[in-house]
Amino acid sequence: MTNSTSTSLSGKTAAKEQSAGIATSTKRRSLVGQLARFGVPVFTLLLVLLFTVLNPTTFLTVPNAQVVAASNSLALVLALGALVPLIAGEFDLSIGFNLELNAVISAVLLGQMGMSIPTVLVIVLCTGLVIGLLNGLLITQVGISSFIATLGIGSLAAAASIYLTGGAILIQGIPRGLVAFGQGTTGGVPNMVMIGAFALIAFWILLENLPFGRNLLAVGLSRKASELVGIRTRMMITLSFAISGAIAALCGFLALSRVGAASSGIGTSYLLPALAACFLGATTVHIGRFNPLGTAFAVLLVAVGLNGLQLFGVPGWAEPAFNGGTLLIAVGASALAARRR
Amino acid sequence: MTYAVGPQDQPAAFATGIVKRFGPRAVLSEVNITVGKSQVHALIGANGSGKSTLSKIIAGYYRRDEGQVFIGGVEVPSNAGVAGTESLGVRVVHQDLGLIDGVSVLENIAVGSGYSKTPFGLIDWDATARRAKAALARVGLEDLDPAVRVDLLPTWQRVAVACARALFDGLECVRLLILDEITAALPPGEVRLVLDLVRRLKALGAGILYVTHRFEEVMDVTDQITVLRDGKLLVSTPTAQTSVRQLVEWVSGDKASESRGVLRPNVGKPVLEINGLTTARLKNITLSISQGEICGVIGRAGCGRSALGRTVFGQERIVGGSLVLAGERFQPRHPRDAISRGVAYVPQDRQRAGILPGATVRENFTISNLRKVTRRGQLSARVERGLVARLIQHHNVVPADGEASIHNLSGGNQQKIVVGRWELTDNVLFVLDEPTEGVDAAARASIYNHIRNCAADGAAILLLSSSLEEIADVCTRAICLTDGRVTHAIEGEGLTVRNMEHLLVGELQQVRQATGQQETTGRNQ
Repeated sequence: MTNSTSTSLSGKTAAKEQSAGIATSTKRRSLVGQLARFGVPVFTLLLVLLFTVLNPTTFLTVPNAQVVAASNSLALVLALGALVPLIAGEFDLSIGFNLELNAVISAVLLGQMGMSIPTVLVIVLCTGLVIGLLNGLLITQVGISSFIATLGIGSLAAAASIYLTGGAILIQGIPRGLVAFGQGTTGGVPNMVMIGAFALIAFWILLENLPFGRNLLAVGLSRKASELVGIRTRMMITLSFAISGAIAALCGFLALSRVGAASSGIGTSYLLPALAACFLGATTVHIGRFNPLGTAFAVLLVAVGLNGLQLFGVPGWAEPAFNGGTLLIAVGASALAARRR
Repeated sequence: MTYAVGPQDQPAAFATGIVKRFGPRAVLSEVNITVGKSQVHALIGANGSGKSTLSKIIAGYYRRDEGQVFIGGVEVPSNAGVAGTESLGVRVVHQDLGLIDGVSVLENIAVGSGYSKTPFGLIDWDATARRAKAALARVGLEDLDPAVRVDLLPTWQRVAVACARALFDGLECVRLLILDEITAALPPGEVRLVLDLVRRLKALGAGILYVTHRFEEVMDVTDQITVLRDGKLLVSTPTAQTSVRQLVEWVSGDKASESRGVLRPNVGKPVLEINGLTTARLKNITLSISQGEICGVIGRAGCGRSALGRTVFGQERIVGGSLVLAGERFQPRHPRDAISRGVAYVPQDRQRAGILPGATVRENFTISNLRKVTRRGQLSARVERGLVARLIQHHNVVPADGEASIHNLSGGNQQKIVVGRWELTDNVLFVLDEPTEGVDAAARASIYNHIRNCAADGAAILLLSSSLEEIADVCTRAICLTDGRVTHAIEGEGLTVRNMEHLLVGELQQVRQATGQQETTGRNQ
């Protein structure tokens, strides 16, 4: 498993075309390039306009905006976690099951064992960290490809969550306060959105402004070359999985606080949108690279599109269909544009 | 010379007036070559003389800009490509052999369209195996089991398997076999076996274009020799009318022998002292390099040259011996250890191990030391841009744009960055492995200049190179490695291309004599 699939491909084609091309077209290209860079947010804006016109009474209202933002903040945080190993050139397929397991663990510890919220949060973060470290060590020390290692660990996590729930939905004894926090707002802004925004800023600083992010990028671009400029590539990759693991666990805890219940079997429904958001995000802001801002725009685009459709009462299959369709169109358009350039 | 004769008398391959330009630079101008049937025709020349370009044009990998190529009397269109030349009967065996490890000999031979099919379109393994056996018999491996995994074979048999693959379609359709440095990676003891193979192939009737660096083989196995120098045909002569000594003169010329020795370096304190260093590839190496010295390392392919560089940079396990760097014990376990002690390293494989592909010029420069562009813990875009602008100017990188993608740069400009990024660390020792491979003349001059400046500033430099011209041009002294041991030290007047070439030739002859003796003693026992 080397890099992102289509985005790195398109990047390579673009480079080839450009090197063969002419220097005089730089200006025009940069103008088109600027537009392409913000294709996802521009399209989101167009969707907002469209749905406002079609549905003037409900779409562009504060309550609807609150619901949309709050229910997608979790997806954003999870996607930001998944971004870290992706930048290092590795996949983390265990995040969904990790989230599921930790939601279940939280429900068990809070509801059945009566532990305090801070204690549970610490335990959950440690569980996530351990899962991430396990992934990282299997990949860097044993030499299993990240795809396989995280698939295996993810399945084990799914098994553990089924064992803990026994197939039941855990709702008993979840503290009221926790659920109130997860569903509440502060000054009109949903608490979940605050967490999402905080995570976005934190990951933006970590990945784009700290040397850590640049080193991680270097590892993803060429492990060998990174090694030879003194980067500890194995440690960086292990660390990236530790981060995605801890973030996924945090998301499990947050999911419990938002929904007020935990059950096994929800893993994949979180995993695929998160990865899709990362790939879609790589077609915007910084084309060809996984980046936090682009990922946030991608989550927003899917959220807005889906909400607009749901207000028309579309059936359940619309969500994954919209998700998949948007991903293919955006990445495909990005690849085609790169080829024409 | 005219070739308006009957098709039966056509030479295997005939190329005339071949011109090839890469950009404004002509790498081949007006080159002619004729390879007869059942003839082994050597194509030799120094690095950059155009011999591999010529063989690639004949094989259809490159398009020629001017001139004509005939295979078996049929003109090859300039846009024929590999498929076109293949259909006319050209087969190529490359130095890397192109074998797929972990897979059987049979599958390696039949890979591509070579499988026989049953009427249902499935692979007919029996028929395929019969044909593979026949192909193996042609190269003298009739006893080899086609089911054996190809990576378990000794190197010379791997070469033979690669040749068998080239002959798999049947002898009648192969007119020209291009053998491109097939002995380069062979252990000395196995060269003789591959030369036997070449003689066997010759007897099959096709013409053989034999590209090599090793003059003794040329004398041993070929019938005709064509020498290229600087993209031009220097001489073409029957092998019987020349000698190794003469070949060395032709190939190396005598340009590099002047201007040497004038710049005696100001040799300072020793920087790197290697005592009895032993690793999986190196045997008891002892070497000391001082400030201001540029020490070259030469030797045949597989002599341990790159291994020496990798060991000093912490990439190989040290089994025995010790290293002292700047007066203190030095035990690098990771490149990081070496970098923190002031060692800079330029790897041989620029594309895989040097550049960060898909990153910008700026990111490629600063990755060697991000602390230089970090302010209060965060990367500073302003500081980074300013620093990169200065580096670009200093190293004359074209285009002078820090935001350009590294892919948009020529190999030479990429290499300027891979070398220049070490300006961001404080270095006492530079280890450069083939620093100018695939680099154009202008960039090469700029890189040499940089190396000399670093040495003048008091660094020690270890230059690992297969280009004797480079060693003679840049180094203040050199050592020769053979099979992981230091066999010669070359200094002062001796540091000429010609001298080193003779040295390498003599080295191989000694080794072959030694193996010959071993065999006779073995027989006596």
